[in-house]
Amino acid sequence: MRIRFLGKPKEIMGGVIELNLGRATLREVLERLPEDVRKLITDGEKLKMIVLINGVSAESKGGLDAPVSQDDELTIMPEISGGSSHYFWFSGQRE
Amino acid sequence: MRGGWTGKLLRVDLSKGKSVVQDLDPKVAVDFLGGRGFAVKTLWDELPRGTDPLSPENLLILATGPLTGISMPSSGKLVVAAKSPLTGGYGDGNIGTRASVQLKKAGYDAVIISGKAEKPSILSIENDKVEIKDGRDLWGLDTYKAQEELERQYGKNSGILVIGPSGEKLVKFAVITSEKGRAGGRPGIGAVMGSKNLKAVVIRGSKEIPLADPKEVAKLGAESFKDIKSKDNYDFWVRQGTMATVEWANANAALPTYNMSEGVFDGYDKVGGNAMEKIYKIGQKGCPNCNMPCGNINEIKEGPYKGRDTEVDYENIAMLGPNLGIDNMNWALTLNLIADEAGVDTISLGSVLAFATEAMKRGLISEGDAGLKLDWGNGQAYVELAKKIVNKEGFGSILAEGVAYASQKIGKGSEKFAMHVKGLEISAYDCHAYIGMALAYGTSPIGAHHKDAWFISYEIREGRGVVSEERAKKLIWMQNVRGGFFESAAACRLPWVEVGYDLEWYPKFLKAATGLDYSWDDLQIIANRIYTLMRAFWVREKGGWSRSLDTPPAKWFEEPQTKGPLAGSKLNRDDYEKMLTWYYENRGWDQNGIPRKSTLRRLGLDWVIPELERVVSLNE
Repeated sequence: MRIRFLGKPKEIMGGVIELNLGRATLREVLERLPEDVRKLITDGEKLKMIVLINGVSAESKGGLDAPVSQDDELTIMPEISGGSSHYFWFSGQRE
Repeated sequence: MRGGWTGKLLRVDLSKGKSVVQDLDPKVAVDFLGGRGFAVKTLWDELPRGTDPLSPENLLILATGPLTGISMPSSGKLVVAAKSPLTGGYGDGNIGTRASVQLKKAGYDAVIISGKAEKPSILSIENDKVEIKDGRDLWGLDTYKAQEELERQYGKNSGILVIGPSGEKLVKFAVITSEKGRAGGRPGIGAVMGSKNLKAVVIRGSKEIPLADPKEVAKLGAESFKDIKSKDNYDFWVRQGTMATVEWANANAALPTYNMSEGVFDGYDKVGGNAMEKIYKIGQKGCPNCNMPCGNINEIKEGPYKGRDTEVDYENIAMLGPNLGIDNMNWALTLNLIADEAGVDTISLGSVLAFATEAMKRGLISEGDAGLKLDWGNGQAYVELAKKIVNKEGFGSILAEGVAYASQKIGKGSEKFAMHVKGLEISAYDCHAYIGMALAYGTSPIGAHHKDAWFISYEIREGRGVVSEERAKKLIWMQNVRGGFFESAAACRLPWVEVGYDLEWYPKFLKAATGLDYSWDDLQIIANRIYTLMRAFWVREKGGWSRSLDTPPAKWFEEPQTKGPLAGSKLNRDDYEKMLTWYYENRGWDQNGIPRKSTLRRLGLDWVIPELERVVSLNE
C-alpha cells in the first residue's frame, strides 16, 4: 500500500512510503505510523486531517473504519485553507 | 454602548475640506457589528442608485469592528469598501494593518469619505484632530516609497494607507495598500481612493479602546495566544503559511494552471512552500496582535529585480506562477513586487495576463494587438505587459479594466475563458472538479473572491461531486462565518481556518468587549442580514438579477481538465443549477436570486423593501 503525505506529516515521513498490510481498516493502517505522525492525523476517534483512499474521501467510506487493501493508495493532507477539523465538530453540533 | 465600539464615526468631505464626528447608532452596531456590515448599511442608505463609482459622490469607507484592535489573536484588520468600479456592485476588502488599531485608538469605528479633493491630498487623523493636507509631493510615488516617506513624516507606528500609481490612474483592480505589501479592496477600492485625489490616509491614536470588561479581554487574550501556539501545525504554519497550499492544491487538481484550464502543474514544487522555505524566504511579517504571521518575505534571486524582496502568499504565487505557466519563482516574485509597488491586485493581474495569453494562443488577438508575444511561462513578457497594465499603457490599458471588460472588447467568444464572476477575477482555485467551491465563488457577494468562498477543503474531506441541499446549506453556514462574522467583527479568520483555534472563543471576546451576549445563532442571523443587504445593493444597482450573475464562466462547464488525477473533470450545468436553487431557497431569495419580502422582514430589513420595489418586483 502506498501512502503519500503532504504538509507537516510529509516533513516527518518524507513524501511517500510503502506498507505491506493486506486488508485492513484505515485505523489499523494509521496505527502502523509513528506516534507523532499518527497524532497529527487522528485523535483515535475521528480524523483530524484529510485522508483520501484512491482519491476518494475516507470520511465518505467510514472514516477510521474505512476498509483499505494492499493495492490502495492513500493521500494524507492537512485541512489547508478550508477550516480546521474542529470546524466539522463544531458545525456538526449545530445541526 | 459599554465597549468594543468607540461609538463614533468620522465623516470627511474632501470637496469641502471639512470633517464632522457623528455618533454611531447603537442599533446599527448591534445589528451589523461593523466592518462589512457598517459599509453595506452605509452604502445602501446613502449612495443613490446609479452613482458613478469613480465620481466624487461615491463613498470610501474604512471600517473596524467591535473586536478590532483588542487583545485577541489577529484582531488587526480594517475593511475598506465602496461601490466597485470593477463590478458596479458592492465592493470591499480587508487589510491587516496598523491603521486598524490606530483608528480605534483615535476614537472612531469608521471613516466615511466623500467628495474629491481639489489636488492630491493626505487625510491625517490624529485623535480629534483631522486635517486634509497637501499630498502633491507624494503623487506618483509607488506604494513602497510613499509608505517610507509617510513613516518618515508621521512616525513608524502610524497607521498608513496608500495608493500607488495604479490607484491614481484608476486601474479598475487597484487596491489600497499598507506597510509595503499588505493590500485590500480587490474590486478597485484603490481606484475609488484615487478618484478622490486621496493619496494616503495616516492615522494616529492614543486613546484607550473602550471595553466592557478589560480584565476579561486580557485574560481571554493571554489564554488564546497560548492556545494557538500549542496547535499541532503551528510551527509548520509559521514557516510556510498559506504557501503550503501550492502542493496541496496541486495534489487535489485545484491549482490554477494555464488560465484555470488545468488543476495540476508540472513545476509546482519549484514555486511551492518547500522551495520558498529553502531558497527564497528571508523573513516574516504579520498584522497587529498576531502570533501566527502569514506574510512570507522572499528575496528575488534572479532577473531585473534581483536582490529586492516581496511578501507573498498562496493566492499571489498561484495566480502569478502556475496560472501563467511559470515554474520559476523569481518571475512570480517579480510580478508580485510590480503589483504591490503599483498598488494593483495580484489575483486580478494574474487573471488578466493569463486571459490575454489564452486569447493569443487561440488566435483571437495577435502579437501586434498586444505589442508583444505571450506564451505560457514567458516571465519576461509578463513583466513587460504587467508594467503596461499598471500604468495603463497600450494594450495594457484594456487589461487594466479587468478581464470582463477585456473579453467584451476582444469578443469572438473570449467570454468563455474570462475567469470572473460578477466582474471580479476568480481567485486561486480551479473548480473543474469542485462544484461546491464553484458555487461558493458564484455566490460570493463581491464577485469571485476566496475570502467568502473557501469551501474546497470541506468538499475534499466530505467527498467531491456531491450535489445536495445539505452542501448548499453548509456553504451558506461557512460564508456566514467567514464573510459575515469575520468581515464584520473585523478580525482575521486564519487562526480558526489554519490552526484550528476554536470558534467558541469569539462570542466570549464579544461579551468581554461589548458586554453583549452573542451566540453563534445570533451571529448567523447577523450574517444572513448582511448577505441579504449586499444582495439588495447589487439588485438595486443592476435593476434586477439573473442566475447567470451567480454562475462561473463557461470554461469550467465545457472544457474538461486534460491532466492529473482528475483528468476529464468538468462542472455539470444541471447540477450547478440545482445547487444554486438550493442556495437561493436557503438564503430566502427567489429563483432569480432576489431577496423575498418575507426574508427582508425576518431579517429586520423591511426598510429595504420600498426602495427595492422601485426597481424590481419582489416575491413574497
